[in-house]
Amino acid sequence: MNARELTWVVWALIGSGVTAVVLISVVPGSGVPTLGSVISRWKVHWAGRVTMIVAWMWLGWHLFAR
Amino acid sequence: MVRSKKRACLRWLMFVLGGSAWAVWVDRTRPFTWSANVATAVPIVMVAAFAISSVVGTVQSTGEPARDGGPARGRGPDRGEAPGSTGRRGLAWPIAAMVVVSFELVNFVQGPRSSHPTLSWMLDSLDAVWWIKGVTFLGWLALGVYLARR
Repeated sequence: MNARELTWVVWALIGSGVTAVVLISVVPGSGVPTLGSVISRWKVHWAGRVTMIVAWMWLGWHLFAR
Repeated sequence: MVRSKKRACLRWLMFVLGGSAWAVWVDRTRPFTWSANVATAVPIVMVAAFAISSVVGTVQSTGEPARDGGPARGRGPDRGEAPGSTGRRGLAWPIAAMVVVSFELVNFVQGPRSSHPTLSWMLDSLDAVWWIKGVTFLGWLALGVYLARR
């Protein structure tokens, strides 16, 4: 297996892991908070909100302008 | 009650129509051009202004900004929850984020991209399809408005 294939395999594993967390989080009583509830909690704190908005700005600039 | 629902529907309709029109423009731009800079900068400035006005509105209506662990002042059921109340399982998201960011950085410092693809490199390939770029832009815009709202 070369570096390219290995990288794609690791990305696929990470993607599967994140998908599993998403699915587990929506199961009632799983104890894993949903992504929405995590973001809502961060939004309560001004520092969390500023951090997320700056990250959002960077993401948009990175994806659409650069 | 009905009036507020109508207003909310109207706002969403305006957002979808305006955002879609803007997404069409963004789709016609190419990165590293002035048009792409303007098409991306305008929503960023608008959302930043919206976020600032939301914070100012909170301060004016309550007399002080929301503090850590303070009482619920806004809308939504999660406002009053203490952070980290879900225990160890609550660490699933921070751990997932750390894994993604770490591997992204590993690939970023290594090269070439064809051998070590990053997330943005993969997204660039998807952005070549016009409707995927448009939907990505609308999703990004909706996330920004959601984050800026009180």
